[in-house]
Amino acid sequence: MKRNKFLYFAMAMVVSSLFSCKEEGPFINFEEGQNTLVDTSYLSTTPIPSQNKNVLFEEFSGVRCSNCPAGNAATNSIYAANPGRVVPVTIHSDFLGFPYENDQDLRNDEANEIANSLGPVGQKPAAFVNRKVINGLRLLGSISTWSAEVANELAQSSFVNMNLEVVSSDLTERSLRYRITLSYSAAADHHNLGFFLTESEIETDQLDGSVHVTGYIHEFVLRKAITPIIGEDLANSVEQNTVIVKEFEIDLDDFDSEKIWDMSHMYLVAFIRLDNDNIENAAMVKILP
Amino acid sequence: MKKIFTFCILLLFFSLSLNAQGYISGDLELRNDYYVKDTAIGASGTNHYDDLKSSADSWLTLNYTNNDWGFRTGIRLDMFLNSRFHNPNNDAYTAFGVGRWFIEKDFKKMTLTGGHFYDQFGSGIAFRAYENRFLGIDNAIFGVKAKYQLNDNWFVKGFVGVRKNRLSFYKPIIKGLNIEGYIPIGDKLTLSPGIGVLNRTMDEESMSVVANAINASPLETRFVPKYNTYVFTAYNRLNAGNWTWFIEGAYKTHEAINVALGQAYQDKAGSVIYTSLTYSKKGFGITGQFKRTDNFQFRTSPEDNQTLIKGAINFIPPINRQNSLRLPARYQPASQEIQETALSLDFTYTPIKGKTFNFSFSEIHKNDINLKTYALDNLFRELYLDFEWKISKKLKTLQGFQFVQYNQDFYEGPAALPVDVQVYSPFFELSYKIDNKKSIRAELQYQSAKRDFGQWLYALVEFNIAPKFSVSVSDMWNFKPGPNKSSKNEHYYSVYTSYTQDQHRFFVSYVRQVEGIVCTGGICRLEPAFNGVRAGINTSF
Repeated sequence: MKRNKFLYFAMAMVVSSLFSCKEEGPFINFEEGQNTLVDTSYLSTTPIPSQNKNVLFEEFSGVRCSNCPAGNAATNSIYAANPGRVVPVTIHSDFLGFPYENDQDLRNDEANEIANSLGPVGQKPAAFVNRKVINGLRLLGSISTWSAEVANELAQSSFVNMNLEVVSSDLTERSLRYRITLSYSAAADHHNLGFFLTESEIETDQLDGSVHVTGYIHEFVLRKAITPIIGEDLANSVEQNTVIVKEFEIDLDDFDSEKIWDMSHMYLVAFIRLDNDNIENAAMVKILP
Repeated sequence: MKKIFTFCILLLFFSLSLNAQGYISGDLELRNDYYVKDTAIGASGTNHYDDLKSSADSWLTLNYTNNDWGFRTGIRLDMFLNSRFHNPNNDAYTAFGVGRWFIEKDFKKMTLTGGHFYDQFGSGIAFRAYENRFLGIDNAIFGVKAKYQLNDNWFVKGFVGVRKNRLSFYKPIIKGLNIEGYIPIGDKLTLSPGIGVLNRTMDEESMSVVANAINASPLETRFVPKYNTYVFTAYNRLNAGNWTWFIEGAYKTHEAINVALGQAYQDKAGSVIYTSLTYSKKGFGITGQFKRTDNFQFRTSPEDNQTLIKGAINFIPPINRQNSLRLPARYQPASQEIQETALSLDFTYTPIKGKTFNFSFSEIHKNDINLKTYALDNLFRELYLDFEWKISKKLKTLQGFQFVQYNQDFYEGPAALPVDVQVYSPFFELSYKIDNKKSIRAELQYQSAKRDFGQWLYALVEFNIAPKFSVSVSDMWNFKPGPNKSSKNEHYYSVYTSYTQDQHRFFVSYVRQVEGIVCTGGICRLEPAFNGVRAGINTSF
């Protein structure tokens, strides 16, 4: 009898371990993305010169991260020192990111997806420089190394030159029409094209050292990944001197139904992502010129 | 890994010193390939032919068993030096280390196992951990397993672990529970029922890859993938006099699967039903089999569905005849995970001693069978007939004929290949015992196909001096290649010799081998063309 009780107990343990609670699953984006208005390509009659690549600088931050204001300052400094060459995106993932009372939540699903799939991000501030693995690490946790790694990357040439333009934007309708022109100075294998929306001048509380600061200004906060965080398939292979032109339209209300975002402080970010997760090139433009 | 190795060696010697009742057993398998570039048959273009010129693969197993203690332990050293087993068309793979170690102890009715273990539930549809090293398969589970003998006829076993991936592990976690029994009913009727349940939990890294791919797919195809997938199986073998009936049904909860390479993931549940019915008496046997598979792709992760054998947790048994003769074995269908409806009939009849007829028929379709086009849209069909004739104590022959209809595009795509390869293969084999030790064997086979490689002739002569010496010479001649083949009149010859001293067998051969799909038990992989020398040792102790 004792043996049977033991057996039933053991079986109950095993079976209960097989079936646990309902799972939530990973983040899947079911929202409508961008509408494609133009999608064309041609071969340039003149050779396309190679340009150096820009840097997608993704900084992980959080309102409850005591050292993050120092990280934000370093990002702003790098951005200012390399005008037009550095594309900053401040990512507020869950870790140390829970909002203070009455503040808006700077976190979002895409931020967590970036942190989880390309991280893990177990420290903040920390950053990706073109999502490259540098000395065995993708996540750079030492602020003092950021500037040098950005400089290294800026000195590299890219096979694709990016020109990102806002064709039109309507503050009333909260809609945006934009065009990306990709000019290939060299042939390329499979890669993706991605778009993010960021916003600056967001005011919330922030922990700074041991001080709870009110009215802290956040810059370049990731608001939305219009495409998947790895971008969307662009091409399996592209010939040298190819020019691809794409034009899209989005309605911000599709992403921000509560109209929290301020278009006048927002940026559109574009990037080219390779199959090894590295960012090949990036560009940024203000939504309202 | 070094610590584990040291631990096992110490454990072994510790056990030996304590008790002399135990015994050591083991084996060594060593194979060396030497590559000679041969662009005419496609044996070129990889670093084996261009630069490396040789490879070696070896498995050395050492087991210790002490029946008095109910204790077993073992360790296997795997060595892959510029190996091409795992990915033959790509660069060489070099690694060595402990490929398997385990300890196992009986405690009255309980047996506990820790380390790498091989096992299966039922026919393996829900779960099978096994090794087929020459197909590059080693699906061992690394974890702990407990088996409890409830009484003389029933046992329950459960395990938790991760699947081996060469010399490391896949990250998803696998758990399983299986209850199996034996029920005698009267003198002639027995039942052997069993049920099992499997659970695979994805790790964050694997899930991120899948989630990213889903997020990059068209909006209307997106879904939330599951971390946990469950597989349930129930099976029974019934023996009643001359009849044996086996049936197994398995169901898999929905998860992301790759229905076709390059397509977006789909969220599907899966099922398999497999049954076989056999009647057998002296001089007569007949077996019918049926299988239907529907979206039953069960791997360590959906991202591993890209290849035939990567990350497999289960094994769906094949229905068709497993041929061993060289040309009749050329067209073999791989067991399908996404959809397959298959049936077969095997018949053996020995009207008088020394004369046996074998007949086999098998047919494989997709699941959406259209009766109007049934005969045309099959994936695979085989008709096989042979006659074994033992003419005297010294002389016996085997003669037969095989017809195969094979959808090469389906089984060997994604490159566009013929969908209807019809193959006719008569064959003849003769064995003659010269005296008690010496024997000679010869094979002659012909194969005709209007597509693919076209027409072949194969001849082999083998001379044996039992139990030590064997030598054979063969040629597989593609004397009239199909219209899509650029090669002309290629000979694929081979010379093989082996020598056995006690339990050690040494072999060396020169092989010129055509590329093709090699299947063993329904598991297939592409074997690229090979030209070179192959030598090795097999030994057991």
